[in-house]
Amino acid sequence: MKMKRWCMVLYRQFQRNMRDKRGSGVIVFGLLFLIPFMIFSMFLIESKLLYTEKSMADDAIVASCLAALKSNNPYDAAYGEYYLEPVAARNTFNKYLKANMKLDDDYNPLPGSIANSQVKVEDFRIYNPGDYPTACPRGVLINKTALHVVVRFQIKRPALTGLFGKTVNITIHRDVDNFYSLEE
Amino acid sequence: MFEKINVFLKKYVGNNKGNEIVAFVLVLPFLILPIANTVNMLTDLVIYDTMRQAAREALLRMEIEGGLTGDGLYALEGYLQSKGLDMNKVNIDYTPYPVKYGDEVRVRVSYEYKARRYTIGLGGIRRVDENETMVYGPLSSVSKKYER
Repeated sequence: MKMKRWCMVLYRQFQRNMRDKRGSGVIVFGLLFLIPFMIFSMFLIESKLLYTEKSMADDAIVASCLAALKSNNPYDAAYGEYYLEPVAARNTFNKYLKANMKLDDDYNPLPGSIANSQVKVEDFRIYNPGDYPTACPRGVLINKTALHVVVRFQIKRPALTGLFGKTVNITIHRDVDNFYSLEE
Repeated sequence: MFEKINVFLKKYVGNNKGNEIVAFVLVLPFLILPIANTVNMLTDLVIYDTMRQAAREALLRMEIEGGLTGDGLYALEGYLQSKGLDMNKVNIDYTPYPVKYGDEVRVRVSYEYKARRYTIGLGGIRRVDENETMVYGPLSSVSKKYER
């Protein structure tokens, strides 16, 4: 009851102020400040969310690459230089990419996927003994049996779609070998 | 509290200075609201990112060690705890050690939390708490653990 009375007092005072144009400057200034302030808040949250989603996709791709790096001969893979069979490696990569990113057989997103469009594996190269030392097309030095992968897809923008568009293009490039370690 | 507010209003309302204060009080909730919601949403995102990093590290470890060992699980739980997560609300699904070379290893981390948001109505700013579950994974790869 007290709360309601207090609100009504404020409301009447607000009406009087607006009529007399006393204090209305504060309200107008406050509301004008509010719009860019809210946009900035949304921008902060959206940036963090998009960064997290990109990191999730990166995890999915690294895990798929590590799976693809299994050799048919475990002794070689465990103790020395080894040759990766290209077709088997690609099939394993595809299988785990679909599982980790929740994609169907055509690489289209299933419910729960972070992708909002078809996921395209733009480049998939295997560096076997004899191919290295070399550098991948994006300049990373390759010294061991490794995979070079470039994956491209779109994710849905959660807010500020009017300002920056409805989707964000994501490109992930990774060169993964069996000695891969965390970089973050 | 309302008595104090009434005294305050009687003292200032009716003159120019008071009008500006009243106007500021009217605008203030609209300014506080985005700050409070931004802080809460960013906090939730930081927790999710912590879970992601923990799961990623666990998966790399599982790949090398052939499943999640007791030490691996202890390290994973320790990491999550060190970041302030309540371990009673954390659920970790994982492939336990040992896993043969080439077989699948998988990890999934979920966390029950209270999503706190603020809305504005006629009664002023209102807090809304909802029980939610954030899930990361399942993330899968293969075991590279080989023993002769």
